[in-house]
Amino acid sequence: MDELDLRRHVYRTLADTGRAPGANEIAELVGGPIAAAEHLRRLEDRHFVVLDANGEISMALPFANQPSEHRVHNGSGSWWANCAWDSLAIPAALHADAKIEARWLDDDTPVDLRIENGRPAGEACDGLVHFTIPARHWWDDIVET
Amino acid sequence: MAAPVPVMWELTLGWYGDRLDPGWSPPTVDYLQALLDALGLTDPFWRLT
Repeated sequence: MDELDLRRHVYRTLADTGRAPGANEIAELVGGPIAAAEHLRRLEDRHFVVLDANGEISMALPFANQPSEHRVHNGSGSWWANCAWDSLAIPAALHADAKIEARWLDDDTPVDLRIENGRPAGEACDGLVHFTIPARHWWDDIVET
Repeated sequence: MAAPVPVMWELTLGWYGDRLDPGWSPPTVDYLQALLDALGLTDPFWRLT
């Protein structure tokens, strides 16, 4: 299994279940825990995933592999997103309509945003997605970004 | 810096729309920059390099 094969498996699992495969599951695919750690490190080196301190996948953009403040739902499942942009990116990647569950930063009220018929809908269409880090530095610390 | 939600959606379709495709390969920086530029995100903030 090469890096693109493993990446494909990670993304397919995230899309289907909302969670990334664990390092133990990957170990079964690639020949053991040492090989799994090496494979995962190579995926991270190529910016395909972000690992946490335990060597588990924490992000495979736009998916988050742990609870966050941005949740995407539809009739097929639910997914955690890393940020507001990623909450749009999940329906785009899935090619599916969805409801986005989040709260506005300024007043902590719920965001009214859906993807309906492949387009944004809801009051949040008049809103803005804020970025604090210039684009050329997004991968300097992708968790902070 | 901020971008309107509809603009971000258009950007996202090009940036992430193929992320689950079986034949996906990493996009080039030039491709991603062209997406930003085409949507008017031309401030130096949006430069990828």
